[in-house]
Amino acid sequence: MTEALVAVPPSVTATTPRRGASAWRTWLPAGPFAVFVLLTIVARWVVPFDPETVVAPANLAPGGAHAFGTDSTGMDVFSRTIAATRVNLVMAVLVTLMATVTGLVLGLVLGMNEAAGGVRGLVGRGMTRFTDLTDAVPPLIVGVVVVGLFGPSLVSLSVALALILMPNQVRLTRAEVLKVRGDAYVDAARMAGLLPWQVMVRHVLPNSARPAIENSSNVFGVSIIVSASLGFLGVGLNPPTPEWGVMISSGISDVMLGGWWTTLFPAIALCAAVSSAALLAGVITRLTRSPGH
Amino acid sequence: MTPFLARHRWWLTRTLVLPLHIAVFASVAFFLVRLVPGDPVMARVDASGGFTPEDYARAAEQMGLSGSIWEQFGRFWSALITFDLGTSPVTGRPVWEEVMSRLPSTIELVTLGLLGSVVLALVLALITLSTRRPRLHTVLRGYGKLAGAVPDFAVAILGLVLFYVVLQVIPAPLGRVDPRMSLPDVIGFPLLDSVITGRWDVVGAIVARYVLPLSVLVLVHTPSLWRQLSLGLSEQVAAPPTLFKVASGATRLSVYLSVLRRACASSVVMLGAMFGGLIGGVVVIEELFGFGGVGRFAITSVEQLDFVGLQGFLVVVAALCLLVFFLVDLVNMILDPRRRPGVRVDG
Repeated sequence: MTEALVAVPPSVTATTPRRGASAWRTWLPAGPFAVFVLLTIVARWVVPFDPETVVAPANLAPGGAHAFGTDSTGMDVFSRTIAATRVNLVMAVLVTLMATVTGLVLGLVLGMNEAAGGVRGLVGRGMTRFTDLTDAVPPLIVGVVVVGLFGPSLVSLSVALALILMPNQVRLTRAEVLKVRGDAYVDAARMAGLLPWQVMVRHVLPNSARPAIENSSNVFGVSIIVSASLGFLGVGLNPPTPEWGVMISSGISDVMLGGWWTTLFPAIALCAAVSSAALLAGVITRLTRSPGH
Repeated sequence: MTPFLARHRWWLTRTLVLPLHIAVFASVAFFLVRLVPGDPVMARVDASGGFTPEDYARAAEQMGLSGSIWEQFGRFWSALITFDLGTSPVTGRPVWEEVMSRLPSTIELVTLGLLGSVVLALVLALITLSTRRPRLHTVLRGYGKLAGAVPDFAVAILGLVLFYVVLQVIPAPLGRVDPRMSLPDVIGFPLLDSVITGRWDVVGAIVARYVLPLSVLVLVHTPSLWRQLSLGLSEQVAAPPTLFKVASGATRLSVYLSVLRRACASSVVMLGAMFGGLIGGVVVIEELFGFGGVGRFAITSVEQLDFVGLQGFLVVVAALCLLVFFLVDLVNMILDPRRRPGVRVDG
């Protein structure tokens, strides 16, 4: 199997931002993401129209009361684009949490048990091989299969995405655990009489969680993309639930007829949300690597 | 062990492991499909006018779901070793044919896209190696940061709106060729087949319709590749082997090749992973441009509860990905002998 030889970024340059005056420079890239989170919370109250009912004639061009126009059924595109942040972002948060937490736990257990003798080590090594093998199934296909068979709900969709994105988190944590487990402080803790699980949770976990946590913003972005792709393919949440992927796919036929707005605005929102997560990645990296952490 | 075997152990063992991986995967696919809740046979039996146990048994037989799960497993395996993936109860055609009639066009699109990415990444690497301007380097590194941060189909839609609706310079996204044209079929790869049969009008039509989807694939997916390559380059560009090469008076080209060879391991792995991801992921682009491909088959199978089809699709795609991973490992072991198992490296 392909070994995990994906390059690790070289450590961030020593110029950590000074406290005080330039602290805002650290936090500035998190701004767009904060806006999206805010929108997720208040979306239902700030949108001018109900995102799930017909409020105007169909196919109105942008302008006037409907800033982004209306779609082919007469629902307000602006309200739907904003309201969709809720569905897409809540799902992404759920997925990121599930994938990262299970990834950390599995990676920790696998990393600690791999070198053990007997059945324990055999199972550990087998599981590691297996997480490598999961790469051979295209993520989107797993999503299509799970959602298609277990039904399109927020839960099944989130579990499917978490399953898809977890192996990477497992691999990152495992690699770090293998590095950390030989360190002197782990031996010291063991010799001080801590139980194996105490060593694992108190000493190995905090020191090996960083790669997975840094990667979690990546997981976040990917889960938005995959969830929108599933919606686009027609296996996501049922319309009229506002969701960017569904909005884009239902607007495609309008594009051919010149009605670009029903598709373009959700597509832009999707790009913006994913890039905001990418910007957040830089902030997280800087925070986890600054001295004192 | 004879010296011959010892010398060739690195690729022999890796080759022997490949069928094992595929076998594990095929078995997993078999059980995965059977984990589905509910009774899939009931969904296919026409129960509106009542049905007899014989009807049920026939439907189960058709779906390969008769007998105990171990009997099914035995049948699945004895058929699989002769490349028989069963017959789809929905379309009535062998699944192997169904998948193989769609897979080549998807492979063609993905391969062309990845080829473009490799070329672009190499060009960027060459620029990085041959200039010293720090600002340019920052810009190039910034492009690598876009990895995974851009949804390809959203970009494709922006492209469609701009080039099809506003500028009207590309044909309608309604398939590979004009609906009035027929595609030649020799080995299944649309573009290659048209070249083989000398249908240059079809080649032109396909190229015109490939320009936008391929540029989107290249622009969106190159950063993942470029990021790995640029990290490798920054590690290797001033490493002792490079300095030795320069000091010994090697030509510029030879120095570049040496740096690239040492820097590319992780990007080759990334390339394999991208191929795997795109074989399934490109379905969104295919849908958007009306191409149709193997991903569509999977979605239809799921929608129509075609288990035989779904299981066959999973086996074929996984085998293809495992084959690519195998090639990736071989390429890396050829490029860098230190990556071969059992080789001891000092330092």
